Amino acid sequence: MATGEGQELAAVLRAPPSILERWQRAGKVLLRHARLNLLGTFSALIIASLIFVAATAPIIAPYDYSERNLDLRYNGPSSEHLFGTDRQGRDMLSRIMQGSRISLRVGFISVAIGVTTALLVALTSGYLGGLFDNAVQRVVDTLLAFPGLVVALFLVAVFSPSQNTVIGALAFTFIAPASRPLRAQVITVRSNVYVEAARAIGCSSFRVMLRHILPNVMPLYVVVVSLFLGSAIIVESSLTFLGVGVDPITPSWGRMVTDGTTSLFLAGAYLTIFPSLAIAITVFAFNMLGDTLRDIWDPRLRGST
Amino acid sequence: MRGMRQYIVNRLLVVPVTLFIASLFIFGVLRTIPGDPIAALFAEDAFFGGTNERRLQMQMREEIGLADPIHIQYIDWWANLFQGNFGQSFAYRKPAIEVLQDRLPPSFAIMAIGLVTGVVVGVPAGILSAVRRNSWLDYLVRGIVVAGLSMPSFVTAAIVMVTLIVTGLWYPPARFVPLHEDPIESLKILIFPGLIVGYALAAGLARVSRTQFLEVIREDYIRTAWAKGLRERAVVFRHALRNSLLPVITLLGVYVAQLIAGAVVVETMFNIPGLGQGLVRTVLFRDYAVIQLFVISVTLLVLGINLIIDLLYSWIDPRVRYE
Repeated sequence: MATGEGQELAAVLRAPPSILERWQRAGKVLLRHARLNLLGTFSALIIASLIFVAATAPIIAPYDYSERNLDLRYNGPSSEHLFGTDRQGRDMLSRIMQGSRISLRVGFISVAIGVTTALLVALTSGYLGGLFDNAVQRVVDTLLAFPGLVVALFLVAVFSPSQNTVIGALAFTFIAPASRPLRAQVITVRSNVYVEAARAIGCSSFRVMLRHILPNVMPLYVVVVSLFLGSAIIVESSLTFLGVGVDPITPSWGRMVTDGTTSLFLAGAYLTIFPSLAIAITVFAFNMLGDTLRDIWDPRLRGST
Repeated sequence: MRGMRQYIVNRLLVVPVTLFIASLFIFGVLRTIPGDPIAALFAEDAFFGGTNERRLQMQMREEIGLADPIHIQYIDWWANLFQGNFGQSFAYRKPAIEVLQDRLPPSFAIMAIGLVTGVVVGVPAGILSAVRRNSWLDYLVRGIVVAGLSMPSFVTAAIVMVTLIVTGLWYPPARFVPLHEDPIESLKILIFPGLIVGYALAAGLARVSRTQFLEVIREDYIRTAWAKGLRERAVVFRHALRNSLLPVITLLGVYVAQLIAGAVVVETMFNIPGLGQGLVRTVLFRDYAVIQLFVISVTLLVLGINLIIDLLYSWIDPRVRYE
């Protein structure tokens, strides 16, 4: 008994691990999860390569995405143009690579703004509770009654379509749906004894929220970010498809799908299929990564999917 | 029974609150942003060689009350709504209610086909996939589900359309036949958009049903049921199904709002004159009356469906006590 306590005490008092040790330990944990979640690892690799392609598109693309070649209009996939060429004889592979930039940029920025705002709403609303929480939740209810795409469509049309309006509109539509699970988590964390202890020793609400609740909500935050990145790609491309997205000159996947269907009789199905696949694979990767992270961090749901 | 009545009353009291927030929001946004229907009307006329005179514009604003203070306009709008006066559409140059009457039926038909397909296909598929876990059937269902969740509806629509046209099974008609003219012909056009919207819904529902079923099947009372020597059919239908469907029904309420988004997108792809095509035009035209009426109708629709879902919930789960 006494030695057991002594060992525990010794473990607590042991010098904190060095940075190298910490990294090694984190690496081991990561490898273990990677081996257990092959689908999640696969998705993470897809996302990593997407980011790489988006960052280096002008360098690694086989052709200039805007270079026209009217002799090569509507040429199907060939060894020179793997994904074929479009109405103006531009290389589709290069255009799809270039298109990843706009999708990822709009996705990352809008989700960062939207889900972070949702986190702030969830923190204050969930922690303070009472009348304030009630009022905020009624507004959230109202926003949830409207589909995100329709609200985004409305906002972008109202504030004239541009990349920044699309980002702003997407971010706005994410606040209400993302704040729900985050608020639930805040309320769960708030009922922990250590929160009560922190309040008992006189910590301010602000400090409790920042130091005791926020760190325990962060895992869910990362999960929500990943899942909303998937829907950001969907809504962004749908807006472009509906004609209120980013400007027509910028190559984007949504517009390529639309162009593909309108020139179906001249070109064949390949002009529609490749950009469609690009969208589907990207959304799939973000969804799978989000699911995997949720399984790892939320023990209640572990193994159920 | 008394508890239930109290519960319904409580739920109904939420309706005006939500309606108030939604109406205030849309009213505020529309009047804060630059431009109004009169300006849009004159801009369009000027484009076709008409006049663009400022004094005439101001005069028209005075006449239809757009020059009044905003809170007066808001109260007037509600007063008019209660008298059955829904305002005029400037973009379509007819009463706002007629615009919605023209455009809602095709969208509703698509949503209804989608809802039925989603529930009838999605839920059984999810349950079946859970019952036969890790069989080829399970993998097939999960594959189809993942594809459905990863593709935006316009991509599914594009692929379906391309396939139909390439195989020569179906061509988009030159003209849309409204439902009241020839329901059969009209449904022949609406069925594909409906099924596409339904596919996305079915994918979501199948996934949730599968997860829920797998969670319930691990409970103690299921083990007891097996231990009693019940047959698989009895365990699945009598014990597991009901309990796993509860969260699915709750989520259905969330998905209904998504059905509207799906309909808006797929309509555009199939060139159907529903809400989708109307929406962009009305917003660009700052068509106050139509947008406001649209927002109110959607809010009422979603609230109504959620109320039905709540009641359904209590019917399936007697433990819910309406407190």
